[in-house]
Amino acid sequence: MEQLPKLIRQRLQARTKEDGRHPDPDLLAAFTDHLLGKAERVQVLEHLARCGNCRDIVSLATPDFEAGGAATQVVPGSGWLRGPILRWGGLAASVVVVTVAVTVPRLSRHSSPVSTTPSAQTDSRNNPPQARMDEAADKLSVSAPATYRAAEVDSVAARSKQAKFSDRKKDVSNAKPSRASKVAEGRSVSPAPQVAVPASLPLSAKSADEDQAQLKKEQGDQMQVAASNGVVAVEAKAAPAELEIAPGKAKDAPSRDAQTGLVRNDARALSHRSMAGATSPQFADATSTKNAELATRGRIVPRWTLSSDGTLQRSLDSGRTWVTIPVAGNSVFRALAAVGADIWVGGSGGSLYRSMDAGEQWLQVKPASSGKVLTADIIGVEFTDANHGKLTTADEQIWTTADAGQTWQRN
Amino acid sequence: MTTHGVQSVAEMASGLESVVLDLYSKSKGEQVGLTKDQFVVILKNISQKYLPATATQQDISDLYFSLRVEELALARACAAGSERAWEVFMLRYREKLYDIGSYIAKESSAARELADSLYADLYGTSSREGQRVSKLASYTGRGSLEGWLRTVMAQEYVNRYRRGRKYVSLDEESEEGAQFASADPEPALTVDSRLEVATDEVLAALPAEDRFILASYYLDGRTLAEIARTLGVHESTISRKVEKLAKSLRKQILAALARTGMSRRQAQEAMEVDVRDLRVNIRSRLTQERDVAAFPDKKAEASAGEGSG
Repeated sequence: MEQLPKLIRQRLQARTKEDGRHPDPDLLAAFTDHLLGKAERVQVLEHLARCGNCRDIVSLATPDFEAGGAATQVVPGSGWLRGPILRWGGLAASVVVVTVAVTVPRLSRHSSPVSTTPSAQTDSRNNPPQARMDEAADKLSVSAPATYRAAEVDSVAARSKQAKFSDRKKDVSNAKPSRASKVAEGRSVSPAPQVAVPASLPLSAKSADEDQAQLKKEQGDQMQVAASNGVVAVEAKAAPAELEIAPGKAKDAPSRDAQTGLVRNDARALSHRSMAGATSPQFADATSTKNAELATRGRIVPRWTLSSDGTLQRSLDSGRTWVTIPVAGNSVFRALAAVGADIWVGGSGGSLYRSMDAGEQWLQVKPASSGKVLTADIIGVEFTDANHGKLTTADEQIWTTADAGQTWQRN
Repeated sequence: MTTHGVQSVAEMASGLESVVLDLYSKSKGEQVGLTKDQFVVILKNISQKYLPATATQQDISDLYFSLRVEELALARACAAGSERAWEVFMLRYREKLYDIGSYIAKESSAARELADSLYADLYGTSSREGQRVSKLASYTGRGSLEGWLRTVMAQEYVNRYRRGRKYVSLDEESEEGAQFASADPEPALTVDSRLEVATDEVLAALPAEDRFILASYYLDGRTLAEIARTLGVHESTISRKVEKLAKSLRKQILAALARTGMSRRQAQEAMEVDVRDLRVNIRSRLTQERDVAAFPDKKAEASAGEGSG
């Protein structure tokens, strides 16, 4: 680091002796929380530049998000475009590439030099896919290590999601080469997969079997959604395009929710999507191309925290900036649990919400046991895996679930 | 909490009345035993503290909306002695107090002592005219309550540390590192007064944030990461800024000297006295020089620390 002439240090030091009135702890706290307006911030900085004492206080009072980050870290990549689908898609594409590579020379060898027509037909059938596959192979050779990196860090989330995605894996592994290549190309668009997540994720807290059954019903829609996602990712390269897909899925939600007793706020879910749409371009704007690439490769890890006034916040840049994630109108949240992409937040009046897609959509969960509904303030939420969780309330009740919140036991 | 001589909700300007009622509802003050009138008094005192007398209704409204009203109501209800508020406060912040203590003091017994001491202050042990006075009564909701607790504890820690430093041995002093090196002046450098004026001029022209960064890095010995965290930016931003500032300051001082009528050669000669220091490592110099300047200005520092609350 560049060194500073002694004279300059000395003059800086001389300025620090101008002791006067100090900002009160409220202003310093607002400064460390980055809540001050521009004018007040400059005033505080002006004082801090001169007052070593207050610099010490501010430095000590600034929370170290890195230290506490591990507990609330959530690994991305659970979105269907990121995780198993891409891995299986990549595998399918590789198989197709190898098959084509083996088949094409054989076909060429077998074609008669006299009868050129079949050969020409074969070429016309095979060459375009081969060209696409070569392109896909090139891209996959670049993106494959990133996929495996995502797989390493996302092992927990991947395990819990594996069953749920099995149908989709089949879809992709049976997919035509052209579609696989489009999905592979979709990786080059960083925000799109993140925003595309809510459109195709299960919307309620269900077991894997139920999800599979539901997914089969929706398979036709899913195929269309997935295909259109692929096309959008390739052609439009803009996240908001996927938002149009969302309302179609929202229509499906109430019937499923009625069965499971879970309440879903469609309007809120839509507002989340619009927020995701709003934040995604910001994210793309605010970060460099390099960062976008890193995000694509699953290195940027969303972090979660609850602000002291009870709002849920998410950071996509290792705690540098936090974005408030609206969950429910007036609920004040006091407890947070994150298992992979499963986020649970609990707070005032027994309000408990779950997101299975890293905060894009939220479902209210109303714990009830023996006819009694949980209404006390929730102050602790712990989930050891996707299914097993424990709630602690302000009046020292403990509620547990072993089936991802479908049924609860009060201890 | 007294309400004598202050406006009630009904007496407020009609525009603000709805704002205050809305905020009171959001604050859930009723649940923790804070009445509307008490809430109005609190808001009014806060606006008087932070806004000039000429502030418009819009300014006041903006300030009110920027407040953490729920935490404000909780803190003030605690200060007023509401049992329910204390229960909620303890549930939410008891553990955090110890966590904050550990983060600041880095040592468990000191952390516990610090947290216990703050807890006593928050509960209010000192009495004024027979009444318990809680430190929470000074919380205004400008920042989060947790941030305020961190700040108050950091302030207490710094004050204690500085008071304690009056009695530490020379060995301990050298072992403590450069954490509070900022208050120790370097030996005076005899330079052309015009150079001092020019340097002051250049430093004064810098944005406050740049001077804060320079002081934090070169005087306090803070790391780039620490400074970045305080300012809420990335470490690399601070790194680039420090590099850029250090490089440009010398040029700017020479330019300022030139403006005083000095020729470039004269200006460079005036700065020559300082040139040898360019190769000096700042941190090692600061550490080395602190032993030479044995505990100067301790009283001033301690009183400054106490006054910062």
